[in-house]
Amino acid sequence: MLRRPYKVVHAVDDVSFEVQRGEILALVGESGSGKTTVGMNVLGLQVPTAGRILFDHHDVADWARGNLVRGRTEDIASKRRREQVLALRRRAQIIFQDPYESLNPRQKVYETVSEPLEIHGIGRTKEEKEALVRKALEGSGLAPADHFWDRYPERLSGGQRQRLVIASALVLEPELLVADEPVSMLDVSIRAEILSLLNELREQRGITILYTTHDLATAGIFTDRMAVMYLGRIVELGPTEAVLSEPRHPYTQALVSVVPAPNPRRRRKQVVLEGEVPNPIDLPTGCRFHPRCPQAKEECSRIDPRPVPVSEDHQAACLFV
Amino acid sequence: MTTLEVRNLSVSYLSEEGALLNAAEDVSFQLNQGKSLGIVGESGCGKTTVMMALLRLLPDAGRIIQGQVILEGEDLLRYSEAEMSAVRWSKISIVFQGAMNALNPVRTIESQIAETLRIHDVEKTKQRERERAGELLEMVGIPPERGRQYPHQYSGGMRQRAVIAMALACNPRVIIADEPTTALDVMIQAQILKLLVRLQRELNLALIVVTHDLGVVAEICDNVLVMYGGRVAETGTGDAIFNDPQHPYTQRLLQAFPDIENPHAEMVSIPGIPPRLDDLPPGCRFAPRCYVCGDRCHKEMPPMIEYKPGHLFACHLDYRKIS
Repeated sequence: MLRRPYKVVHAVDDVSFEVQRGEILALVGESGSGKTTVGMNVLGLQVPTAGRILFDHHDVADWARGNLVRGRTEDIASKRRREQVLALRRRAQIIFQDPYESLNPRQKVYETVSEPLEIHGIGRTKEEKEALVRKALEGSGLAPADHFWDRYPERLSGGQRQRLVIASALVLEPELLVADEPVSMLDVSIRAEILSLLNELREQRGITILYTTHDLATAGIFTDRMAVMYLGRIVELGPTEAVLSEPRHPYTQALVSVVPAPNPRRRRKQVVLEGEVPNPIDLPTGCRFHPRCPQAKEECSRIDPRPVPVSEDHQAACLFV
Repeated sequence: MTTLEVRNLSVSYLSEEGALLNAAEDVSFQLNQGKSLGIVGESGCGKTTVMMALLRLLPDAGRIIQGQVILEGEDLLRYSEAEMSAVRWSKISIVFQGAMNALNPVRTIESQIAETLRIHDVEKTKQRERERAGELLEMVGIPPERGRQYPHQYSGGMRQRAVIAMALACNPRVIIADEPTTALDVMIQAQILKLLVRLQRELNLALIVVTHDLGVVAEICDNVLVMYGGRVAETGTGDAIFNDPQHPYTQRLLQAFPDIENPHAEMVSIPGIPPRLDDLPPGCRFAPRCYVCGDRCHKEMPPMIEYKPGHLFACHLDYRKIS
């Protein structure tokens, strides 16, 4: 039989970063940069080919590998791992992009928020569960909770739907939230309220948030640090303010320059890159960004730059920073 | 010279119960050749209704109640359907939102452009149609040989370019772009905006950009029309709207927009949601969400006030002064 030679796509390659408890880290990049893949790996929803993901000293990647063999070699070790994955789910939750797609239209608000409790066997009595659901709904700004209890998602506005998605993640009282473009489908007028809700969760409950987005402007207003990704690599990482006000990597510089300023008097000189993010199946040699880099020099096509510190807590992966 | 003038346009939708719901009321604006106008507002504020009424492409339930749409001296609302189809694409055309849905998935890009040319009798021979399709693709930055590909072989940005090429096929004077960059990545968005600005200048087009993204408007539009609840809340030059906004809705909308150069500025939401068409407030449409409104705002529709030449807004001014 003939078979096409297969190639391996490295969606994310050699990415390292740390997030502190109670910190909000932005993972910024265009489609195909690998930001969503990183989020999925952090939650153990995908298994990395290599590398470790330490969540509170436990290796999530190892658990996720065990979870995948379920049903075949059901031994004690894999059963143990499955329990660990379940325990991880309780501590780390995700909020998806589109609250019109991520909610079950046939589930009422109460059912949506109480489902995670059933899965994790939390709350012995009906009253206990109701109290937890109430707390999650009101903590997400759907107050008074009774007012929403029996509604179907179609009876909620876009902002309320996203609050419901957040409530069903919050009900487990997670320590880590991966928020994957949580406001990009919402009207501008309600983006601010969802972002301030996330910020409140961090301030009041110390929740750690990984905010993946292509929108530098929203990332700029509420995240502490920012990792900019291009073709599966982190090209720049540092405090959000420093990355936006003094971007060091040419890719970050271009991205920052094209964010529209809400004022025609401040139209800036834009660095509009030609073409699009290449297919990760045929990665450029040397620096992955060099074919589109306005500042590329000869050596950029040969040498793959390592991240270098540009200040104490700010790094960029470019030969000429 | 005024290319397009809309006067007191009102559009309603016929509900299943037979009631007429006002989706756009008393909308007026002008657009000169070579200039651009941004129509902004949240979802449900009537901007899409106005746009579809200009093209006379309203859904079956849509009714144009009153008004005039004057394109180069002729009122489009008095045209027969046949006359209107001759004008659509050749004088006024549209770049639809969601480029994937606007393209036929089983035909090549080139043949879809050629079809437009054929219907409007722009080119006489198949050979010329293909050449012209190639020219149009080149104009929007797509290598002509890729015209023989299908929409699924294009990236999102290229599909958007292809849809723009199609809108330009019959040399229109006015182009309406409906959310031209929504759902595109930042860099692709910048490429598409740059392309629109270049085409507008080179072809001296009158451009209408319908969007909820104030950043896009600030970046490429000369004039702005802010809509709320189907009515014009404020209109003026981009500079006036962004630096001297008068209507409380415009002010709030600007505060809700994140500014990368000013990350510490507080970003404020507008509590509540735009009114439903079947439940429009009797007075000012924005009154239920307004932070400075008074009794009169809930009862009477505010008049349009000319604040400065060309800068108009609809608000009961007195109540704003008290605040």
